[in-house]
Amino acid sequence: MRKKKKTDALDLLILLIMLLVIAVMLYPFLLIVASSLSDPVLVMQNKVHIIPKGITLQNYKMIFQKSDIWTSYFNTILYTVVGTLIGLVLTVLTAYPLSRSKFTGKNKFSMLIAFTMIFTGGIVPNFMVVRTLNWIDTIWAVTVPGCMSAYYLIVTRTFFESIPSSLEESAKIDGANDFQILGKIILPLSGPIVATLTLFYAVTYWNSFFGPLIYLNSKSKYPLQIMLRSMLIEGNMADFAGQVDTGNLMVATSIKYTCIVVTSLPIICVYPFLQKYFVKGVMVGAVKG
Amino acid sequence: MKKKAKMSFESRFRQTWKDIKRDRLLLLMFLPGLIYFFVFRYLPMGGLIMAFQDFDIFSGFLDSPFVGLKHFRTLFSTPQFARIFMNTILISLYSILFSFPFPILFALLLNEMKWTKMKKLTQTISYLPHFISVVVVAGMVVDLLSPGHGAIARLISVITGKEAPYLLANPAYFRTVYIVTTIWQTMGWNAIIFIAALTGVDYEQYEAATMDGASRLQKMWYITLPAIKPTIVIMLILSLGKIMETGFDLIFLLQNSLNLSSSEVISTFVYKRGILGEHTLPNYSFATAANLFQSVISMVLVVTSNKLSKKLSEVSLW
Repeated sequence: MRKKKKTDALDLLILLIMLLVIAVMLYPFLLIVASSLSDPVLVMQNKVHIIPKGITLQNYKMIFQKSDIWTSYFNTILYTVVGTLIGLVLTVLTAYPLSRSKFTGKNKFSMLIAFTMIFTGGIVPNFMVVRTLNWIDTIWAVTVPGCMSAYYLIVTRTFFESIPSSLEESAKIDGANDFQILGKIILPLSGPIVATLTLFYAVTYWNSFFGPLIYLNSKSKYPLQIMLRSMLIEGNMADFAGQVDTGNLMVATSIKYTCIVVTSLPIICVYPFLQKYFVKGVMVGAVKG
Repeated sequence: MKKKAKMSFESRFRQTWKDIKRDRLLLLMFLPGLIYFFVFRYLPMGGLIMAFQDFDIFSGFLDSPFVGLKHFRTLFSTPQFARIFMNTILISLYSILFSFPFPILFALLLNEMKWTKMKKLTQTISYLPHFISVVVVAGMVVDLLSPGHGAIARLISVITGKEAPYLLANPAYFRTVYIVTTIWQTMGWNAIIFIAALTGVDYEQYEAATMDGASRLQKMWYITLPAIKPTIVIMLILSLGKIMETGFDLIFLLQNSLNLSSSEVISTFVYKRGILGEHTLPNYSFATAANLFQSVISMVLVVTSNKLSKKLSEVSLW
């Protein structure tokens, strides 16, 4: 451990830079949260900065009562849960055999998987595959094709390799088969990697935008990100706010901010608690990326 | 090894069969993943054949006429293509040039930070933008830059004393806006790997340097930086390989008809021609040809930079 040293000018400079970093990272979020909680009139007059003024919950009430946001919210949760589950199960099942040193064809399979990281078919052929499967405009199109990341598969394999093989051997002597070993011995020791995978997949699905954009056609199946795009980027309020008076620019601006908060809040609340896991997960990947 | 070479085909086959029988449960476990990679990674690679066909969705891959390099010729003679290609290269090159050093710098400074609690807080907050969807990030950028209302636009008009122009409506500023946004979004997350590498630096080296009277900056330059060099090289190779795959999402979302001359890149072009079918019906073959062109260049880039790095610094991905 480092000895306590006197604070010098460099320390203060670093502190100053870090405070600046914090400010820059947080500013847009504070602005949005403050605006969503403020009186729309004051927001329109540019009077609200990072501290809410004329605090009101009317924006939230409006969203809760009138808009179509709940259908999208439900879709996003559904896609996230289904996609994450499929991804998690598939990644663990695929990574475990690859981590066994004697597994037949281990190297060939690893090469096969690693190659997909540097060369891909691209969007049109991918689209054709999904189309051929008749998955267009179904939940499967937005959950299955991207459900396993080759990079995280390799990270998971590396993690499994780090678990002492003596545990596995003694279980084998007791007559356990590979599925039992994975379920009863390996998985209970794999908390960090499972947490990393879950967070990574869940965030990916929650925020995913391109898959739904090309594969979904019916509005009733759109997730939040598609609705947000049409509102934030294309300035199309009708989709989101439903019966809210869309001619009213004032309300529209505040509704925008409120929708961002409602959409992003779940993830912002969760990630700090999983920090130590995903940091560990990234580090496992760094050792043998 | 020698023994194996002498084995006849039959006995090798028998050996493999024995291995398969022994690993049958592991293979069963592996099967779904294998199918996944086959269907969603390798089948699309096979689908690249449509770049050499006049692909017709009703005839399929087998019956569509083969046209050789026709689509590549069309691509290279498309008037906008040179510009789109340059846009792709420039955006990526600038991204590496400007976005790459920030996480390293951030990690170095964080490592020098004395106050542990403050260090942890900064780190946690720096991850925040990584978890926000690109759609929201793009929305924030549009909002912050909108003249008369956005905070950044107002800041600019205070500094310059004039009404701020809408930066996203001007092709000249597109790259700047894009790169600043990426730095903001990825700096904290990309620093994780460097922070991890920094914790592995041998502490005794610092003590020896202190004895020799080295200043903190000297220690950073001569001890810390060389210690994380392998990590830096690997991350650089990885990002070089991505030169051609500029982030589709953010570019697509920040794009508008006014900044298109500097914001259209190969991936957005492929999407518009191949899926959306702007102006006409989607031209699958033409878009796939453009995409294949991009994939091949990026593969060559990863392989070359990896070889180069192996030679120069003995660090490589494989």
